[in-house]
Amino acid sequence: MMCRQVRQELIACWGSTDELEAAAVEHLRVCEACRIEAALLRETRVLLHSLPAEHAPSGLTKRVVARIADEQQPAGWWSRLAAWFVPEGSPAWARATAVGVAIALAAVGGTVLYHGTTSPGPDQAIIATTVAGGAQLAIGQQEIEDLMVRHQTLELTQPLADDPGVHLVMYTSY
Amino acid sequence: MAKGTALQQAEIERLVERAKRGDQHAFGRLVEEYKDKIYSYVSRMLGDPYEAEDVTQEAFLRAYRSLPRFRGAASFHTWLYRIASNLAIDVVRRRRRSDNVSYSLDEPLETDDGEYDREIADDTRGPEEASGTRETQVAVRRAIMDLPGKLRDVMVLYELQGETYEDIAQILAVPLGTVKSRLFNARNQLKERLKSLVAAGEIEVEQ
Amino acid sequence: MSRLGRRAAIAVAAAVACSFALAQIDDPLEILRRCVSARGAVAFAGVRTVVIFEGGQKVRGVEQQMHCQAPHRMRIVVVAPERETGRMCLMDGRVHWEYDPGAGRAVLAQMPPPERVLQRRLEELDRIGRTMRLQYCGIETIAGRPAHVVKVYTPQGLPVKKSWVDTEHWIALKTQQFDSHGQVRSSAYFTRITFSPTFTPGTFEFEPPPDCAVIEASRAPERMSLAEAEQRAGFRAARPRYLPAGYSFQDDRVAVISISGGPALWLPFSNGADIFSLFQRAGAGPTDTLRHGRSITWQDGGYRFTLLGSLSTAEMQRVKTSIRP
Repeated sequence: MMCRQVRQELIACWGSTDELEAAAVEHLRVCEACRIEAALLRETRVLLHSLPAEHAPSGLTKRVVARIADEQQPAGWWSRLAAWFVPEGSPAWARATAVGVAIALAAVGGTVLYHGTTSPGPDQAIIATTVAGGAQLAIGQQEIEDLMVRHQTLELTQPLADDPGVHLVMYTSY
Repeated sequence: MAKGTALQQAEIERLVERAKRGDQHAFGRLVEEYKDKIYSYVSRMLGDPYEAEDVTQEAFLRAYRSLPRFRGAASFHTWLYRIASNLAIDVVRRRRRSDNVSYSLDEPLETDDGEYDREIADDTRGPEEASGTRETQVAVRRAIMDLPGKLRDVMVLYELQGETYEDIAQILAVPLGTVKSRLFNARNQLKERLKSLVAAGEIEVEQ
Repeated sequence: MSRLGRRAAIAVAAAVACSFALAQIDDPLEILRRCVSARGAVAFAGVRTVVIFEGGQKVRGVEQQMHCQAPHRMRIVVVAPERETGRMCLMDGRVHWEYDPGAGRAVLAQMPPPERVLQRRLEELDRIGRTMRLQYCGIETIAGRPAHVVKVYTPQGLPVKKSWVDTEHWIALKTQQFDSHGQVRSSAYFTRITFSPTFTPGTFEFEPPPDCAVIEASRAPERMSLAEAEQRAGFRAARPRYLPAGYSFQDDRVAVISISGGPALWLPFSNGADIFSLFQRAGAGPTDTLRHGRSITWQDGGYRFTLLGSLSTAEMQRVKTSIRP
C-alpha cells in the first residue's frame, strides 16, 4: 500500500489504527513517516477535543425576549402612554416629561417588587457562576501569572529590556 | 433529536408551535434550550465572544420573526443553526471588507535589517510548545480560525458541536459528499497548522 | 540688513546651532541615558506597531495606542487586530495593571518607587556601557521625526538591541531586540507620535469590570546572595549547566519567595540587556510544557522548576535540560 493511500485513510479515522485495513496496518509497521503522521493526527484530535465547552453569556435569554417584546409593541405606545398623563395637543416636552416620570416611578416600583418577591432566575445563577469561575483560575495558571509579574518587575530594572508594551504582546496568553 | 438538549423532542415541537402563535415565554424556553449550542458554534466560527453574543441574539430574533415560515421539514435545531451560520458568514465577509481599509499593517516596512512584511502574523508556535494549557487551547482556537470558512464551518459543526453529517448537510445546504470532503480537508489542514504546536518529543509513535 | 536678510541669517544660525547640538550628542551611552531618563518624564501620545519574531519568523503583530504623561503614567492599549483589541497595560507610578478583556482577567502589581527603578536602570546602563559594545549609527527618521540610532552588541559581537531615540524628546521611537542568536526577537516602532498632547480625564485610571477576575501579584522581594537564599529556603539551588551566549548568573540578586505557602528560590540570569528567571521550589504541583509567553514548568528530583523569560523556545529547552537537581 502507498503512503498516500494510507495517509488518506489515517485522516478519515484521525490517525487511529483500530479501523484500518490490514494492509494499511502493515504499511504503518514498516513506514515511520506514516506512523508519525498517524501520531500527529491523533495528537491534533486530542488538542481539538481539549477545548472547553463554551456557554452563552448570562442574561442572553432575557435580552432576546426583551427585544422581541420591544419589537412587538404596537406603534404609537409613546403617544398613548403620554395621553394617560397629559391632554392631547400638549407640548412635546410636557408629554416627554410625563412619560419619563411615569417610567421612573414604574422602574422604582418594579425594582422594589422584584427584589422583594423573586428568587434568582437562571440568568442570575449564571452570573454568579461566571464571577466565581472567573476568579477561580487553575492554581498552576495563577502561580505562573504571579511569577510572570515578578519577573517583569525585575525586567523593569534592565534598561535595555523590552518595554511593557512589547511585554503585553510577547507574554500574551492569546 | 438534537443532541445535548434537555427537553424532549415532543416538548420542543410544542414550544415551537406555541412560539409560532406569538407565545414569547415559549420562545424564551427555546432560547434557553439552544443558547449554549448556538453561541458556542458562532463563537468558534468568529473567534470573538462579543461578536458571537451579538450574532447569537440576532439569530434568535430572526428565528422568532421567521417562525411562521418554519414548516418543520428540518429539525428546529438545524434550522436555527442555519440562521446562525448565515449571520456568521455575513460577519466574516464584513470583517474581510473592513480589514482591507481599517489599518495599514500590511504595508511593507523598510529597515536596515531588511524588509518586514507588516501583515499581522498567524500565531503559529514553535515546535517545543505543547499541549494541555490554556495557551494551547487558545492556539487551537486560532488554528481553527485560520481554516478557510467553509472548512471551519464543517470542522466546528462535526468535531466540536457533535452534529451528524446529515444535519450538517442540511445546515449548510450542501450535499453529504461535500460535508465529508470538507471535513477531510479541514482535518488535514488543522493537523498541518497544529504540527508546530505538538512538541516533537511528545508525540507517541505507535510501533 | 533687509528684513529678508535678517530672517535668512537667523535661520542659518538656528540651523547651525541645531546641527551643532546634534553633533554634540553622538555618544551612544549618553543617548541611552537620556532615553532611560525620558521614560516617565515626557508626555506623548502615539500609535505604534509591535512585531514579535521567533527564530527570525514573525509570530505575531499588534498595533498599540500609547499614552504617557509625566510623572510615570503610561497607558498602552492594543487597537488591532480585532481579536486582541482592548488588551491593555496601565501604570501610574505606584501600580501596574495588565488587563485582558478576552480572558476577563486583570493582573495588579505594586510597583517599586519610580525613582528607585530609574536609579537602578541608570546604574545598570553604566554597567552595560562598561561590559557591552555600543555603537552610534547616525540619524534616521521614524514616524516623521529624526532619531539617533544606537546599537548595543555583546562583547562577542552579537547584536542585543537597536534603539532609535528622538533627537529632541529622547523617547525611543523604535526599538529592536535581538535573541541570543542575534536574530530580531521584537520590533516596536511608532507610526504616529505627538508630544505634549492633552489627555482626557481618566486616561490613566483603570477600574476592572465587575465580572473580571483580579489577580494581585506579590510584592518585590529582598535580593541577597545565593548562599543566604539557600539557607533561608532550606535547600540547594540547581543551576543550569548551559546558558545562552553572553548570559551569566546574577548571584547577588537571588531572592526567596513564597509559592503556595512554601519557600522558592528565584535565580536571575542576565546578559546585561535581558534577564530570565529560574524558580525552584520543593514538592510536587502542576507542571506545564513550554508555551508562548516564554515559561516552562517541570518537576525533577523532588523539586518543581519554572523557567521564565524572553529566550527563544529552543534556548529555553536547552537551559531546562541542563538543570539537574
